[in-house]
Amino acid sequence: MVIKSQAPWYRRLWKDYGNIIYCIPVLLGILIFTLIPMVYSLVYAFCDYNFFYAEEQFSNFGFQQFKRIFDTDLQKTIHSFYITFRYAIATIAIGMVGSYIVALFLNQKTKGVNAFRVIYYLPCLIPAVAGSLLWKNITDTYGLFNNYLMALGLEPYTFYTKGETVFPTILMLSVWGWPGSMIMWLAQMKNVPAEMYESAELDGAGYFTKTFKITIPMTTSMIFYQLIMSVINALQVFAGFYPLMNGQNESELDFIVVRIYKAAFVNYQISYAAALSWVLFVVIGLLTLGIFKTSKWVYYGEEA
Amino acid sequence: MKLIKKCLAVILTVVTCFACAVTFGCGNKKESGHLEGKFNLEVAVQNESGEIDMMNKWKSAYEAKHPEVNIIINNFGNDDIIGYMQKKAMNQDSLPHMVWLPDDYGHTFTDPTKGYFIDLRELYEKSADTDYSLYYDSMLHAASNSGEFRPTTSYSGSYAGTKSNDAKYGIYFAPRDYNQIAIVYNKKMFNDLKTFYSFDIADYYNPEDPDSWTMEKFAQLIQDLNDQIKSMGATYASYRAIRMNMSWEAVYTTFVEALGGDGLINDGNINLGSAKNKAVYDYLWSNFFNEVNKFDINDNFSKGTTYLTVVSRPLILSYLPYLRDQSSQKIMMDFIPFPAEKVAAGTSGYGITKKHANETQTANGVTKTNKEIAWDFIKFILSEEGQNLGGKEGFIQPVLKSLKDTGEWRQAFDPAMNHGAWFQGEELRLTTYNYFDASMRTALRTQMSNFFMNLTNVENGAPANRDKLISTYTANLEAVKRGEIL
Repeated sequence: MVIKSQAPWYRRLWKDYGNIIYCIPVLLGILIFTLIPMVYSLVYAFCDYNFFYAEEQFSNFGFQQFKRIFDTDLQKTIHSFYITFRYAIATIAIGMVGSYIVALFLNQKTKGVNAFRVIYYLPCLIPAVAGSLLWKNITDTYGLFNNYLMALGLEPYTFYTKGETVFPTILMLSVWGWPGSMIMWLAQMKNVPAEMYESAELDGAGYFTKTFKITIPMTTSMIFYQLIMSVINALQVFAGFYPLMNGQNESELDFIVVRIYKAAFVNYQISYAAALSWVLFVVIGLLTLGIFKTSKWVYYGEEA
Repeated sequence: MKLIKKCLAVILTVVTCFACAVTFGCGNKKESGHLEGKFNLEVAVQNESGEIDMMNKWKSAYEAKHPEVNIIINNFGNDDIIGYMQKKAMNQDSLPHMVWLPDDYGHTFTDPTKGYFIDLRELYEKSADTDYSLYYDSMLHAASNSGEFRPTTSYSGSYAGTKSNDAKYGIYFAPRDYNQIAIVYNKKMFNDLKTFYSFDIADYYNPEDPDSWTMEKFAQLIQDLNDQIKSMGATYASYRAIRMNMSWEAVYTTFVEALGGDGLINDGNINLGSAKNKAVYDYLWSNFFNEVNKFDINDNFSKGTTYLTVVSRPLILSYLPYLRDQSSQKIMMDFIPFPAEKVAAGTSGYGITKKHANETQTANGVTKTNKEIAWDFIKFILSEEGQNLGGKEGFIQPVLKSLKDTGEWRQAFDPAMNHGAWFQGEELRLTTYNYFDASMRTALRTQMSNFFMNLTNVENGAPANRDKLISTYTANLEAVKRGEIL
């Protein structure tokens, strides 16, 4: 009997555990940039972290930050969550419906549709900084839009500068984000089998019947995905809004993440900011869970 | 293919581990720039070209006299002092031996019992070379955590005043300059105005007749400049009459005092909405902020589209590259004093970090603590030689009283310039925030800065919006006082 010689230990090690090496970069990334900061922020949330003091950074362990959020600062917490949810509901509704309608339009087999697709997608190709400057030039007190208004003898529109107009303005600007969603709707619509539409046409179905009976049901998996992502993104809204705050509009822009930022980097109350972040994390987690639990309407394709 | 994948995975792992090691400070960072057999002194300054250049000049001069010392200059990177210290708070071992600190935000970290910097009084009092009487009182007060400095009970020098060993009266950074505010103007732009439009700045400010330079004249100059810009047509639409650093405490406090306000925070009470202060805002808005061409909100002075700016001296170094005439190499700016009886001054300087203060180093058989090495360098910066070096470069007004009239700072750039503008009138001490705990002052200052920045906005600062502005920021400041989140 010939006994097969055993492979050297390093070969065996590589064979048995080599695949782990492939995962190390991403595991390290998650560990260092997500898990460790999360643990740190959890610790901060239960103490009075103060970076002004070299010798007393972690002190007074307890629930005092959460007590403050739901007791002393309850009104402010409710207000922040109220305007955040108001923004989330409005942008998700307008954004998802709007981008879906655009995608439906761009899914037509008509002449020049490719040109329209490119035009609609252009905003996504413009770098964020250039986009911000563009909107700034348009919405400035003496910007492009107001120049036209004044040329027509009308009063300039206040856009961001006044509390009454800041919410409609940011809703209007959220249109800028439609193309990203639109391209995903379009990809999903392309996956709907053409035979279904042909059969429906043979049965005499019109455009709206096909849309409501075929297109929408067949794209529910993407609707579900977009809904989850939109809820998470909308509740974490922050980008660009903090610098727009001034004495006239602060209350209208006091989103929950703006509040977290101000707590951490304006008032330097790191523990309070960490506690607020965890509250937001739990709210987003519960909402996401709720959406998953009620996702029977989602069609994932024929199961094998 | 499999081999390539393995190699790629290994490379990625190594790169990631290296990045992590660098990020989290593994390895001995202290070795960076250190020289064997020398006293290595790490100094961190803010990332501003003038600040770094000046520190390099002090370093070269000092190292030439002390070859046993090697000074390593680091900067704050993209952070200000708050951001820099916030990061260092997480990894205090990486704190340098000496850190640049400003008087308005720096002492946030100088709590006597728990802060990051040592009380320098023991070092000041060791030698007559650094006797307190050599420096401006107000700058010493500004460098104390409580806003009021007192010598220790063992002090035997000539500085008058109550003595106390209480740490709250200690000095936590050594003030290196006396930054009174003044007005800088672009000579080239005014020369053009004179040539083409007969608009002469001498009609408003005449160095021979300083008494005629009043706040009313100042306001008139801005109004006339505004009218002039508008009359020059669309090509000059982006031109602005003046830039004022209204977010800076020295500037807004001086304006409020000069225009008859009664203190923004009075005896610890928020006083933004008092009748006298409202009258100040009215005056400021109608004379400086109510038209687009009057006030530059973006600091375009160096770009040559803003005629005047209100600043402190260290900032003018950053204007030099833009305001030097290419053919004659003459500096195309000059100075006008701020037209007020009392003008505020700020300061900045260097603190010695507690973390490494008592660690020792040996060079040439001599052992010294980091505190001693750092203090010797600070003493050099505070000496006549060091102060003149900074003054000659146009970087500082000396903190040494003896150099007020004779120092080389009066020769900087061009002796013919109106250097005296930087020492005008009585000094206005900045005490607004002294009532509050140091950890509260940063947020209070931020709110106050935001309030004044809003006031400079042609729309937000307008009388119709003013009450809302005042109530918003009064509420914000009260919230900070109560320790609440805004």
